[in-house]
Amino acid sequence: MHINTAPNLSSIQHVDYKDVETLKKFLNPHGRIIAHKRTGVSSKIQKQVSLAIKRARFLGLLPYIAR
Amino acid sequence: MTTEQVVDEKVPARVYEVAYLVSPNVPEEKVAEVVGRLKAVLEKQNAFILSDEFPKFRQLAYTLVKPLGGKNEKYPSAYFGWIKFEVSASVLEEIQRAFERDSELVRFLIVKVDKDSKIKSKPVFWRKDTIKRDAPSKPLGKVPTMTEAEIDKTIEELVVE
Repeated sequence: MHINTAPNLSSIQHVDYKDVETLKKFLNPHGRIIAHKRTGVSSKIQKQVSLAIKRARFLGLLPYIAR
Repeated sequence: MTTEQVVDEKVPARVYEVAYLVSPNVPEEKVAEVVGRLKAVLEKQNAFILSDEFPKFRQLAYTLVKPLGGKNEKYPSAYFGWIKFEVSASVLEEIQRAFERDSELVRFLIVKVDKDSKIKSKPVFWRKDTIKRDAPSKPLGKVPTMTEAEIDKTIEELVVE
């Protein structure tokens, strides 16, 4: 069975590396980026999200690894 | 005049955003000085500041380590702020170097952004034809004015139906 992750991810239209709360929805409890297959967003948004997460990690806003 | 325009076309100003972390060792009231210093750097390179956010103190997701005077300095928290500015690409390197020299900045990141990257309203459905269908074809010009009695009457008629 396909398990649907966090709802309403598809309503995201604009991605910003400073918007930590939105980006956190794309991280699993370990702090890893959730796979495209799981998030169900368009390729365009997924690419923007992963870039934004990496920027936020560099600035210490998001973790590289978490427990 | 014409020559100026040619120059402008050759080096178009682009919109960038610098996000930075100010060292937590800086007392709260001195943060404004650091921000002023950064803005001075930008203005020296003829950058036009579009918008900014004043640094806010926050805990970081992990401890940043930065070598400072032969020792590694650890930063579990910092003041996080950003400045959005418009500048030609050629002087960006200068700006970056000036920021690197600032010892009170823990880290910074310069990225290219859209000029008006405001958060748009999020329609639940975003199929193009749906948006087209639901949007009013032309702006409603004059709103018909009705007196209160007329409105009441219309409502009553509707209720009867």
